[in-house]
Amino acid sequence: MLEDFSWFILVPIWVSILIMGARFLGIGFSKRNTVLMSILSTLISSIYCGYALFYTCNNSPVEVSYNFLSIRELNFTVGVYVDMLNSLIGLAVSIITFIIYIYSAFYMDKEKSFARFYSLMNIFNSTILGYIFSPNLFQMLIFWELIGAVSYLLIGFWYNKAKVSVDAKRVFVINAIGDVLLFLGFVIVSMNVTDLLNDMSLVSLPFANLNLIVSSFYASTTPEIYSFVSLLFVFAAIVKSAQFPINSWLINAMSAPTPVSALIHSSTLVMTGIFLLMRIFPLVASNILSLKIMIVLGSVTALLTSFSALLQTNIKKVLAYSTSSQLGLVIIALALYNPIASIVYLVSHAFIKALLFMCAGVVIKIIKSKNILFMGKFRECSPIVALSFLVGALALSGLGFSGFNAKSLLANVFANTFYLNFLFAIIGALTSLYIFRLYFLVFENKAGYECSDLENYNNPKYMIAYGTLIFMALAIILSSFIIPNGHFSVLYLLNLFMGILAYYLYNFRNNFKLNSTLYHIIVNGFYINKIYYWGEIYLYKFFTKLISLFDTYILGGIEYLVRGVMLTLSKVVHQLQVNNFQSYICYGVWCLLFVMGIFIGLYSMILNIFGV
Amino acid sequence: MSHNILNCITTYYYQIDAILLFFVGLLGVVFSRNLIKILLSIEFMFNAINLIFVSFSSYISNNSYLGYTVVIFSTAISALVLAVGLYFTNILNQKFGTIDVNKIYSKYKEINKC
Repeated sequence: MLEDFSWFILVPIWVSILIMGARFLGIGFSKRNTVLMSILSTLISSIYCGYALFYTCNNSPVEVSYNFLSIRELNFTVGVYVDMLNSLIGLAVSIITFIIYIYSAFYMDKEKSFARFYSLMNIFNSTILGYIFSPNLFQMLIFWELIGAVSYLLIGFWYNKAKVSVDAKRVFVINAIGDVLLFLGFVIVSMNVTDLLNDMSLVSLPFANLNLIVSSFYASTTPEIYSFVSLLFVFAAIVKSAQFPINSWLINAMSAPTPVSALIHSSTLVMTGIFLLMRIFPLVASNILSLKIMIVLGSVTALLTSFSALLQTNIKKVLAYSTSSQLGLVIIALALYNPIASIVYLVSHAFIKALLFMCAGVVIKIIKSKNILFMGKFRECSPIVALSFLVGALALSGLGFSGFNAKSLLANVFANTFYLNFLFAIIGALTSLYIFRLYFLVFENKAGYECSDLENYNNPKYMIAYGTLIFMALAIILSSFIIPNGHFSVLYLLNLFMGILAYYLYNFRNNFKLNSTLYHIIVNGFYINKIYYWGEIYLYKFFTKLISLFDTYILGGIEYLVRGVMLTLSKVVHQLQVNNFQSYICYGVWCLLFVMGIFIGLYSMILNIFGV
Repeated sequence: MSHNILNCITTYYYQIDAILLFFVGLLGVVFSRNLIKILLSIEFMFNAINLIFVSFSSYISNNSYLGYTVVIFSTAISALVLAVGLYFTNILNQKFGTIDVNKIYSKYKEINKC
């Protein structure tokens, strides 16, 4: 059954081809039909994922593979591999995509390139499913690249704005670092394993034989190379999941349309990096160094980005920084040998963050600004948005619903070490503070727009958005019953205290004027983006100078030489063209002598050869 | 016979002489601008070739006249060539007023305006 229906990954691509093909032929589906087809494709995938989850609970994993590329005896395969991990994450992704398709019908309503948006979203859905259900690392690599490319197209959706196109390019280039690292790791592991076992069927590193692959790779290399390779994988995941040294691209990615941010940069795309680590967990987990580095980078990210989120004035940037910090916690939990807690937190966080982004999208759509200092009193205008945001905020800070249970699971993981416990407390407190700051500034603050200033917030077309928000909030509330029950602790009180503190700090005023250096450092994300920028510029200048030296002295010298030779030759040949009879005769004589010389030389050569 | 001075002059002398004569003619052709001088130099070269033929005929046998026969034909042809060349020289002189080989073309361009 599962094998027969593995074609479902291709359904979104068919839909995308249909939409764009119809537009190309000039027919064009109506907006309603476009949305309906897209929703149908996600429904198919979510039904498949749900069934797969149900099936793989009791049965062994299922694998379907086809030959994709054959080079002599090397056969690279692609296909579908279904086990509990990827069917769970696939289900979460499909449901979120389903909701966001409906939501985008509202958000992108007046967009000219509606069809392009939906076809891109469909391609993205297809690539993410292909990535999640990939049976081997080779297919994962292909879809990893595709995800980067499609996310570039989606971030640069409004490409005619200069800032948007620059941001999209930056994100694409930074993600390319991760591609290179993953490719390098894949090649090294594949080469060593096939060399040791002499088994060419393992060349694309199937996950079904992961233990064999890891053990034979461990046997075939030195410990240094082993740690190097596992670090390659860790850093590839860190690039994709926006962790510390390379976390700034997530902020650039916020210039995408809000549904794209909700789908890609809160839940699905940033999940892919951690999903890679979960997939090849035996490879990473048997190396202490990479686990240590994961813990260090995760904690650094969580701290720095929490502080940055605390001071942002752009509503989407707060949520973006928050995503980075929560994923840092997930990575630490993974490095502490706790995949279950990290998967649960990852999935619940995906739902919560998607909901928060969707609420932010509605607010941005109505107020037409992203600056939270201009917002306020929004609860009176649309209580549904405020309530769903409150649900998301409570869940994110771990005060209730699915977030409470997931965070309790995570707290159990962190409880053993004093340092990590302390870190977890700090990050929990900061999370609570910034998310309630956002809530109070946007929805409750006394200084803000009057509701009568805002037009059409009760427009019937907003009902779609409100419906999706309610669905998402209900999903968060109901999913808290699935996750093992959480428990109350001191951390809960701390988070609650921070929420109340946010009420007193941000409910009554919004004009915080901070101008210290530290403020500027934190609000700009510790200038990580700027550092890369200057680094790029200086490296670029250095390399161009180096290359220009080669240009002037070596290439230029060759050019000078060639020019000189050609000038001399041309001066000689020029005499043929000057209408001077004597020079013609001279040339004739020289040519005659030359030909005679050749004949004499040949003659003497023949004489020498035959020994005459 | 051996004390006869003519016996010391072997055919090599004639050949070297012919080569020198040929190059004198060649240099004359190359370096002289006057068309009549060039024709004269060509005659020099013809004569050098004739000398070679004569001297080489002694390689066949002592009484061979083959080389001499060729020389008679060659002389006749050279006279023809010279006659034709002089005829053209005369025509050029009438048309352009000069027999300097480097000036004839520029005069031609002046007259035909090309």
